[in-house]
Amino acid sequence: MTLANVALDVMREALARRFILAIFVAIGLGLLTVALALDLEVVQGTLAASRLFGQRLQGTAIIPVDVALRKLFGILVYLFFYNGVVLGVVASSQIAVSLLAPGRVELLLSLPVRRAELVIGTYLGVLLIALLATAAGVGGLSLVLFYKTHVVTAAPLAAAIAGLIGFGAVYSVMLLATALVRSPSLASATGLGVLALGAAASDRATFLSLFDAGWVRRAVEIAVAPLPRFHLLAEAGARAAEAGQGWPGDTLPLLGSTLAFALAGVAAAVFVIGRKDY
Amino acid sequence: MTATTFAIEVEGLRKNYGRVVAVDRVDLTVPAGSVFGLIGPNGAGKTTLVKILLGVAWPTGGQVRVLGSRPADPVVRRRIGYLPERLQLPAALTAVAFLRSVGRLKGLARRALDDQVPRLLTLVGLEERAWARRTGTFSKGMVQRTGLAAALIGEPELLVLDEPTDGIDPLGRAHMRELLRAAGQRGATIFLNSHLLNETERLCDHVAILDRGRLRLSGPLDVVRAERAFRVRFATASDLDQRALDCGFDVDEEARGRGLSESFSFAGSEAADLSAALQRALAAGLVVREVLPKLKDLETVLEESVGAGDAP
Repeated sequence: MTLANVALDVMREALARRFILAIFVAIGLGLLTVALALDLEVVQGTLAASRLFGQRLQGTAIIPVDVALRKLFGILVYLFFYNGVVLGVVASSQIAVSLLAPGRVELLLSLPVRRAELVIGTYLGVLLIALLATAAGVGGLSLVLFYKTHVVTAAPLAAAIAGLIGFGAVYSVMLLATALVRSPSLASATGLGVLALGAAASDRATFLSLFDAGWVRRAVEIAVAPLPRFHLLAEAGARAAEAGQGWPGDTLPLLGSTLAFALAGVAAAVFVIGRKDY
Repeated sequence: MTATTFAIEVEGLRKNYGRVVAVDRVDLTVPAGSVFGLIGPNGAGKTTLVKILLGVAWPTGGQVRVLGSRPADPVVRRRIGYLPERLQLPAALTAVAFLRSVGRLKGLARRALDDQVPRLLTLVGLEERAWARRTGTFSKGMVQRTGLAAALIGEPELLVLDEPTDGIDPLGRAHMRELLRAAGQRGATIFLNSHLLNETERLCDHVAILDRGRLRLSGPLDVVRAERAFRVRFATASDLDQRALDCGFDVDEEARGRGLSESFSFAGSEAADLSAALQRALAAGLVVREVLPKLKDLETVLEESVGAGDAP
């Protein structure tokens, strides 16, 4: 109950911030633009013509509309994944910092809340906001496309899952960074750094080949070993969206390792905050 | 240790920050239902002590019991209200939203919050038009009032207030004193950390003095302030000063300076000595109007205590 209260309070406070409200307004405006500018002509279950701002989008091939949507979402997964995680990093960098601010954290810690509940509740609260933003973005786009094509597809869900799991892993490290040093800039830099390094090192062999063989390559190998393979995660989401048959089974270990990374980050943040004097 | 008699019990408490000793072997008890003032110079370790009492900082050694339990116990913290020094409110929230958040984390039901939040905001004197404003736009005084309302939510048994009147105007201070007295009257223990000795003197019935991490003095205010002397006032009489001096009394210039004419002091704390002097005065035909123990002001007590700490 306390955990849920902390998470909901974090979410309420975040939603009261103008910057986060602006993100939701931007998502709404983006969806409105798509709704007004995208024109899809569906004839007997096939996409006969598609125009964006009056410009023709497809070639001459006539393809079933559900196939076309899955292809579209296969591409959009990358857009949602990287843009969503970067936006999430920037938007959430202040949240834990403000909770741990001098004069604020003392009051929070004097309330009947365990420190672990405060950390995990904050993490869950931020994930809730990310979930809401994802639901607004991906869900809104699905609704717009459903309105235009009358086809329901599970493809957007793949984008949502990939994005949320990726952001969960990144935010856990941001939370740990904030527990160590209360700085929104450091939290953002850590989040973006982990995302960039995790994405770049997704194909370990190719990434490591960039370094001279020897102790440097070995050191980099050790450094990137625990990082989630973010680009593979986005690829798995894109494959899932294109296949339209749920998450590919062969990528479950990837999901598992990314989740384990997130849990380890949160556990480390609990450890640091649990022992700290405020 | 008995949980029922004392709201706070501290035994051999130590807190080190690296090589710096912030709190050094402090033994302290705060009677349940008392209004307790913790005073001392800057850097004495007062705020560190307060933070340890609330589980915000961890002790290096010693024992702390608050309302009979460890400060880290969330159950006991339901019964505590706290106003931190330099409180920072969540700037994006309104005063109402902030209080509801604190109340929820204290485990209060929605109905209790609906009742308590507006009542407390009224009680602390926050104007109704400010209730729905973001706290980021609040003045220092408004922040303190909102913080006090947060501390009072759930009618806590123990109120811990760190510099509660900081940034509040004199009228607001008087109002806050009234609020704290009312809280005391319903049986709450109030633990006040303030550098304003006048406030402490007017509000508290017990005080403790902390200096360089060491507890210099602790006890009921009247005992702490008591001098080893009495003040005696006689009825107006001819040649009063000389007759009183002959009986063993001294002219009390300090009291006379405050308009208390015919005031004399009697040095000594033994009742038998005072009784003998009074008998001599009566035999000399003087009429005794008032006998009171002489009290030092808290500033003098603090100066003497801190000065005593300097002695080898």
